[in-house]
Amino acid sequence: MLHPDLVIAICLAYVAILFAVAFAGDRRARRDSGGWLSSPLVYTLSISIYCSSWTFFGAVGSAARNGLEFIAIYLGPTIVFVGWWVFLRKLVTVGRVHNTTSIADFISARYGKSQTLGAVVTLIAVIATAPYISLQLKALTDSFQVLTLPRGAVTAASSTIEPDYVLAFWIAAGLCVFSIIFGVRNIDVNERHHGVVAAIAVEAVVKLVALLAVGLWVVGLSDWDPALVFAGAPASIIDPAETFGPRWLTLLFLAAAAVICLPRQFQVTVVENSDNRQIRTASWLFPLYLLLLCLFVIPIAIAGLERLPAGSNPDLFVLTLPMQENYNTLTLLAFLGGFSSATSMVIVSSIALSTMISNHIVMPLALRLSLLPQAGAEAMRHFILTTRRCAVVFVVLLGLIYLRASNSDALAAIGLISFCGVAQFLPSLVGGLYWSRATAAGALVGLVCGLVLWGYTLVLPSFGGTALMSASTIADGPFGVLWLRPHALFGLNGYDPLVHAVFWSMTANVLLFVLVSLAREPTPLARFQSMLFVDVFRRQTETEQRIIRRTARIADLRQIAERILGPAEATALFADREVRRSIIAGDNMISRVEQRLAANVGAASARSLISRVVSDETISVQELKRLAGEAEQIRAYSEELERKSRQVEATAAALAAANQRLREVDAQKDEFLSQISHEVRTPMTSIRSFSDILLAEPAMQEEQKLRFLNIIQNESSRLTRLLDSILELDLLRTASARHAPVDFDPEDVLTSAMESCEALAHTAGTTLVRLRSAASVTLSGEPDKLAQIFINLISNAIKYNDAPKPKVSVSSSSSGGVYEVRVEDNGRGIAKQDHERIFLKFERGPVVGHQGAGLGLSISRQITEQFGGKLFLDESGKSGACFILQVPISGREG
Amino acid sequence: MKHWESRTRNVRDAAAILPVAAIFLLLPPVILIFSAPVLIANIPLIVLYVYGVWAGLILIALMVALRVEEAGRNGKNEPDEA
Repeated sequence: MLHPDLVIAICLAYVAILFAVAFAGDRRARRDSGGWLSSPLVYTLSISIYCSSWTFFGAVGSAARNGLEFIAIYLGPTIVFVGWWVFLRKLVTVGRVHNTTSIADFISARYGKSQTLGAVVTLIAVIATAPYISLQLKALTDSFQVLTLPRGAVTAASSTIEPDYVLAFWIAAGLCVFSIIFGVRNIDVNERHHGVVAAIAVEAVVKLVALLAVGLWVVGLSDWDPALVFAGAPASIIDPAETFGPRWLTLLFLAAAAVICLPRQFQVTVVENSDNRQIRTASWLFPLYLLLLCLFVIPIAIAGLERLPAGSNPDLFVLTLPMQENYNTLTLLAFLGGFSSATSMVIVSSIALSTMISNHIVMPLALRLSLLPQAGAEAMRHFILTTRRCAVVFVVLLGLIYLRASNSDALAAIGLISFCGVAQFLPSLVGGLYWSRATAAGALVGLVCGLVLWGYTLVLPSFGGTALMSASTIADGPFGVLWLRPHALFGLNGYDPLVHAVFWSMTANVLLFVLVSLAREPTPLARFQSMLFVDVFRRQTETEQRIIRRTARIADLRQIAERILGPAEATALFADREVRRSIIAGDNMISRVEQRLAANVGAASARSLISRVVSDETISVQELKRLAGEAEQIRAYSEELERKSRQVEATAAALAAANQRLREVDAQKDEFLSQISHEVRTPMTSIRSFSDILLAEPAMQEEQKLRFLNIIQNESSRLTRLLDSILELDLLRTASARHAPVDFDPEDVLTSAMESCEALAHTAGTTLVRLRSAASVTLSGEPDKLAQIFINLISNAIKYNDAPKPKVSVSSSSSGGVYEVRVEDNGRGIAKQDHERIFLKFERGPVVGHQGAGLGLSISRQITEQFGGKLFLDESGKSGACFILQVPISGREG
Repeated sequence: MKHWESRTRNVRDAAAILPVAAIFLLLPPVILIFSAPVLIANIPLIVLYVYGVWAGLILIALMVALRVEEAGRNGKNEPDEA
């Protein structure tokens, strides 16, 4: 035996070293956060808290009892870590990107920052960890008692020792102190505990060295001869076929789940992770650590069975073997190894759980019941830290109570109860990372049902017929209902209780998770969070602010930040010049504050804190749609395309219309030009004709000359007026109301028109006669226009008259409110079928040699219509053509 | 470079296949083949098999990790999911 005082002194010295390491680690981390503390090696060693005293003592015990079964507990994590690329990488990246503080925070954040879910996860974690912590306390107490038992190792190992609960209490108290000092000293942004991690890394090395030393020593006892080492091997190792049944599969699954879902594993693997390099190295280094730790488990177990008296507790072989051979140093080393593995597990578990309890149970409750201190920042920080310290004590105390209540002796059995409990997180965790349709309701129902079934089929029976569940209930079911027996639920008989419990709880959990998720639509926030988690590799740059539009008063925001973060950090947070000037905070600012708060009190609590001061919150549906997966993106894209093509179509239609309009205008322009040239041509012709006559016949009478000159002048001024109106560009517009209409006598116009044509008639040798004249009437409109019609008609009659003695006669009359002018010639007339055609544009009479656009009649008709009259050919069938113009008399008939 | 890309993909595939291979090798029926009561060099076959598979997995994982790191150094970033 070793003297208790000596053992205590060594323990205290060891703890003092750990304190020093933790202290140095914290200080170093403050100076330089990227130093060796965040190296992949330290990260891997911290993950090795997976190997608690269950491994250190229990693996040998399990090997001695059940042969190779113990390896499954280490092969499960090996599979997860060598397969890091598939799952762990994504989990760790999401955790790092979203500043996750615990597994409860992770699950609650994934499912729309649900507070209920966070609380349920925390509850399950606390319940599931209690047996595990009790396991460590039991291992610590047992090993200490064995080490200091006065009667010697052999007796100690073979006799049943009454557990010393006073000792267990003091050990628990010591662990609480260490956890509180290093784990709950500050509220860190990322919940990373560098000091603790450093201490754990040291402990990881100590336990590996201790177990390897004992292993090497044991193999050395057999002279390094495999034949001797395996000489006394039990049947379960020599002929292990029975090991690889359903229980093997179950253990592999549970261990693989536990290495992710255990709160302490989540803490060291995901929360303490700072870059991908760490997880990459851990992917092979951690399995290697496990392999080394397990290397000598079988030889130690065989040696223990061989050398120690039958009935010795196999869970303590690691300690009792060197004790029996009186290797005191080795014994102490083994004890320290066990001590290390147990303490590191309890410390990290209690820290992780205290964060979860304070963030997901106490804070939401305090928020709801308005229990938060209003005094100021210090009070608030004090409140959170106190909560966490109390939570640490509570968690360890719960382990102590479980130790007192449970009667299971084997370490492995206790540990597996915990594993089965935390495995309930797996569906929500995996589903949350890969299935965007998974909802909070699904996760909640699955978790609760898994919890209930786990409790009923595994936890309650583990107390072995106490008040919680009587022995008769275990044997025959509650109230004798056989199909409700905890170990044979619904008649599922003949399975190991663990396999049975895992089967029912996981089946119910997964099934309900999937079904309820499919049954209900997630909220917009949940949908958004799910996209962030599921597509983490594609959307690391996405931030909440782009999707969620919120506004809040800066003062309110600052008050919250100060209360939780403290004045220094709050000032730094609001130091921005822009922020200082404004009153209302935008999305950016709110998200930043929420992120910082989330790091301290968890995402769900931070959200509810912020939402108290946020005055207006909308989630942009547009943005959500944009995020909604590839298919949705493609749909949005094709919608966009459709919209674009519709736009293009509309533009094309507008273009076509514009083109059409252009053509019309162009045609109008052509028409205008020909009209102009025609109108200009008519007076020009008469001017030229009269001047020709004047020049050709110098002997003309003065009176005649004067008359001709008069005509020339009239025509010139008409031409000037015409050009004036062209300059005004009035003609392009449709004719009506260009000039204020004037009242005039058409007879005067007719007379002057005939005078204009006289020269033409003279040249052509045509006789131009005026027959009947109408009484004086008044028309309203433009006299020049009417003159144009008359000149057109008369000059046409002259030009196209091919009779030997051409003669054109003009007559006018007025009757029944209509003023009528007839222009007749004695030519060959116009064929009946051409009567209408000649009024079309660009049609000419059938005489060759006459130039002109062929617009005269068409223009004349248009003008007539503007006067409200008609222009047509007489169809009475006489020889020659007779054009008739009828215009209604507007004003007073005189 | 094509050669480089295909190598990166090989690493990615190996990383994804590794856990599947591990499960295949460590579950019945494969593991039952090696659980016959046979001694090799005085060591039970199953012990050699399980520890052998374990060590093999670690070795391949180490190679994958090194390759991924190499890819991360050569390429812009660590080869991401396709």
